[in-house]
Amino acid sequence: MTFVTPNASKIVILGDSGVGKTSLALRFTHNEFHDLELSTVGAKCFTKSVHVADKDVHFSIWDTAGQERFQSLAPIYYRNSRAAIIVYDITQKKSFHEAERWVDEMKRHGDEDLVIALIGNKSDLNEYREVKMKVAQEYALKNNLIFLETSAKTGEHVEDLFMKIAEMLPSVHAKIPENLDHNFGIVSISKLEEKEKRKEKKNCC
Amino acid sequence: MNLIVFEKQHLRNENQESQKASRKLLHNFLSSTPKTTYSVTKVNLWGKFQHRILRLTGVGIFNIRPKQQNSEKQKQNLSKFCDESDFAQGQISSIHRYSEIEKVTLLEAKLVLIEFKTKHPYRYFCDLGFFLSKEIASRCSIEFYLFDRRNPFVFKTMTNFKAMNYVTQKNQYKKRIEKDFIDLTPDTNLPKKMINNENSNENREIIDLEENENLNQNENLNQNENLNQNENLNLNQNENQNQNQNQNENQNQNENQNQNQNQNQNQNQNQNENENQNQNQNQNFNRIQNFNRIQNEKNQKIQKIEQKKNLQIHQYPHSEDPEDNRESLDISSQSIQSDDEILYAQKLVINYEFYTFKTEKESYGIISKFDILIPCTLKLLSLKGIELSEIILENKLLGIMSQNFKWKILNFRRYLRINEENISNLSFKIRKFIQQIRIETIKIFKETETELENIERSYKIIERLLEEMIISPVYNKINEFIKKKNESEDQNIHDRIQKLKEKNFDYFGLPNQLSRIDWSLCSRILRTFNICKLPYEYLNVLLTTADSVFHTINTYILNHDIQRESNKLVTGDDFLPVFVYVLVNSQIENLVSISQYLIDYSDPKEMNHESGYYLTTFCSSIQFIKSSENL
Repeated sequence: MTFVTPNASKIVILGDSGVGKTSLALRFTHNEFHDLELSTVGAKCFTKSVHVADKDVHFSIWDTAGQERFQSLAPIYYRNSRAAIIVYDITQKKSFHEAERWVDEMKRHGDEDLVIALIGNKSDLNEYREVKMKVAQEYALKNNLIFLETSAKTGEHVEDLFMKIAEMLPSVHAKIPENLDHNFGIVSISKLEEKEKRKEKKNCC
Repeated sequence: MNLIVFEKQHLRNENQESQKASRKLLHNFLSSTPKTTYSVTKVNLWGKFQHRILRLTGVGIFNIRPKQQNSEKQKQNLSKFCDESDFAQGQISSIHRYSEIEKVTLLEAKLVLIEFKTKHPYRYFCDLGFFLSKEIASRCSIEFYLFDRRNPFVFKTMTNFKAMNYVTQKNQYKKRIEKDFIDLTPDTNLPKKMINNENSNENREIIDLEENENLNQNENLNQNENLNQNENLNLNQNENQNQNQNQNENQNQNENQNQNQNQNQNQNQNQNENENQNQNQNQNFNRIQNFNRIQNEKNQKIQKIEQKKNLQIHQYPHSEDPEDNRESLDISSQSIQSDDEILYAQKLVINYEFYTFKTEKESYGIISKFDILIPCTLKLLSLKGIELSEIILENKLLGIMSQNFKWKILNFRRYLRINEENISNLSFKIRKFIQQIRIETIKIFKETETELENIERSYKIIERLLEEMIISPVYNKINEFIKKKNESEDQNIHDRIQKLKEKNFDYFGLPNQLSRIDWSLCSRILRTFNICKLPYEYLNVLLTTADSVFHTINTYILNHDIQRESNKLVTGDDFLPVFVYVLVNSQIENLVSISQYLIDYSDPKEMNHESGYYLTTFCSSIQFIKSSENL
C-alpha cells in the first residue's frame, strides 16, 4: 500500500496570444466563460480531476503567455509536463502557423511519451473561418496528434478533449514514486543509476 | 466581485468542558499577540468619513478617536481590557470582539469592509488595507478555528486563509455597497455637508454598553490570565535552578497556587497525594513553559518594532480640513508608509500562519506525535534496509533518535562543518532525507487518519516542520554558499534591473489599458522576500503577490469600466508581463540566488501545483530580465 495523493499530471497550454488559452482552461475547470463580464478566477494554474477507466486522473493545467517576446521562456513551463495542448484560432491563419511551430518545438524538445493535442478554438465563429478543418486534420494525422475543434464559449468538445488526453496519458499512478525526485527538472543521478542497475538485473535473469 | 478574506461558517454544538479548555487556550494565545495600530478613515452606513485609529489587540478591535481622551470613569471601566498604552492613542469609543465579526472583505486595494453580527457594516479606507484585512482575518480565524473541534487536528487555518476566494456578487445588498463604493472614488465629488457634519455625529457615539456587559461575563478568562502569569514567573526561577528542577517546580507550583484562588486548592491536595500525577503534570508544565518562552521572545522582538511604528503613526498629521480628507481617500495617491512598516505587517501575516499552527500543536498534542514520529520512521527505514543518506549514518542515528531538539540541530551543524567542502552536494542529500522521512510519515499518519484531506493537510504541516527543523538551522550556511556561487549573476541581474526601471510599460508588453494601474502594492508585497527564510515562506509570498496582482487588475477594470480588446478575463498573456514589471520594481537583491535556493530546497511535490506555477513564473521572469535586449 503506497500513499497516493492527488499528484497532478501537468498539462501545458501553448499558442499565440488571444487564441483563448485561458478561456479553454476556465471552461474545462470551472465551466465558465467570460466574454463581457469580469472573470472572478484569479489563479493561473487550474486543477481538475477526471474519472477515466476506473482511475482518477488529476490535471493541473498551466497557462502560458503567448506573446512573441516570451516564447523563449516556454521551455521552463513545459518541462516535465505530461501533455501539451497547442491552441490556434480558426479565424486567424497566423495563429495556425504559430501552432505548427509549437508542434515542431514540442516534438524536438518534449519528452518521448508527451501527449500533444492540436486544438482549433472559437469554432462558434464559423462564418469568419480562415483555417480549413481538413488542412488542420491532415496535419494532425501526419504528426500523430489529437485533433479537435472546440469552442470555449459554447463548451463544444472541451470535455472530450480532456477525456481523450486522460485516456492517452501513460499510466499516471505508476510513475509517482520515481517522479518525486525530479519534478522540477533536477535530474537526480541516483535515479539514473537505479535504472541502469535494473537493466543489468534483467539481463542477468 | 470582491476578495473575501474571512467568512464564518456554522459551528457545531460542543461540550461545555471542551469549550472552557479551548477558551482558556485561546485567551492566553490572543493576549500574547502583539498589538498593532492602523490609521484609517472610517465610512459608516450613511457615508460619513471619520478619521480613526484601529488598534488590534488580544481583546478585540479598538476603535480609537484621535485627539480626544477617555474620562477617568471610562478608563476605570475599561481597565480590565486596556493598558495605559492603549489610551495614549486617543479616546477608545468602542471595542469589537473578534467573535462579533462575521465577514471581512477587501473591496479595493485600500478599502476594507467589515460585517458584524449585531451591528451594521463599516467600511475602512486604509493605505495598508490589504494587511489590515489579512491581520483581522488571521486573528478572527484563530478565535474561530480554535473552537472548531470537528477534526482532532485543526489544520483549516493553514489552508483557509491562504485560499482567498474571489466570489461573484449576486446579492442585491452587496451590489448596493459596490455602487456606493464607486461613488467614493476620487473622481467623483464628495458632498461637503457630510464631512461638515462629522463632528456633531462623533459626539453622539457612546461606548457600547453591550460590549462591556459581554466583557464582564468573561471575567473567568482574566483569572486564567493570572494563572498564566504565574507560570511565567516560574519559568524565570527555574532557569536559575537547573539542578533540582523537579523539586523546585513543585514548590513553585504549590506556592503560586496557594496565592491563587479557591479553585486551585483542590488540585493542590491531589498533587500532594499522588507523586505520579506530579510527574505527569511537570511534563506538561515544561511544554507550556517552552511554548511561553518562544512566545515571549517573539513578542519582545515585535514590540520593539511596534514601538517604532507607534511613533511613526503619531508623526502623520491628519488635518481636519475636508479637502485634506479627500486627498487621503485618493487611491492612486502615493502612500506615505515607510518600508519598515510594510515589511513588519507582512511578517505578521506570515507569522500568524505559524502562530496558529503552534497553538494547534499545543492544544491537540501534535507535538508529542511528531516527536515520536521521527524516530519511528528512522527505525522503519533501517528495518527495511533502505540506505539512508550520509547525514544519519555519520551521526549513527543517535543524535537524531534522541528526542532533544537541540541535538538534532547540533548534529546537522556538525555535519556541515565536516562537509564544508562538499556543500554543493548537500541540497540533494537533504532533499533525499526529507523525502524518505516524508514517505514513511505519511504511512504512519494513514493508520490513524481516515480522510484523504486530513492526510494532505498533515502532509503540508510535516513539510513545514521539516523545513523548520532541517533547513532553518543551516539556512545561513546555505545562503552564504548560494550567494557566493551566484555572485556575478546576481550583480548582472541587478545592473539590468537598474536599466529596466527606466523603461516604459510597453517594453514589458503590458496592454495599454493596464499601464495606468498603480502596481506599487504588489511590488511591496513581493519585497517581503527580504525577510523570508524558509522555502514555504517564499512560496507564500509569491502566492499573495499573484493574488494581489489579479485583485488589482480586476478592481481597476471594475471601477473604470474599461472596454478591453478581447475580453475581460485576466489571462496568462497579461500575468507574466505584469509580474516582470512588479519584479523589476520590487528592489529585491540576489534574485538569482533566491531562485536557485527555492528550486533546490522547496517541496518537490508542490512543484506541479499552484505554488510551483508561480515559482516557474518567478524563474522565467528572471530569465526574461537576463535575456532582455535594447537596454
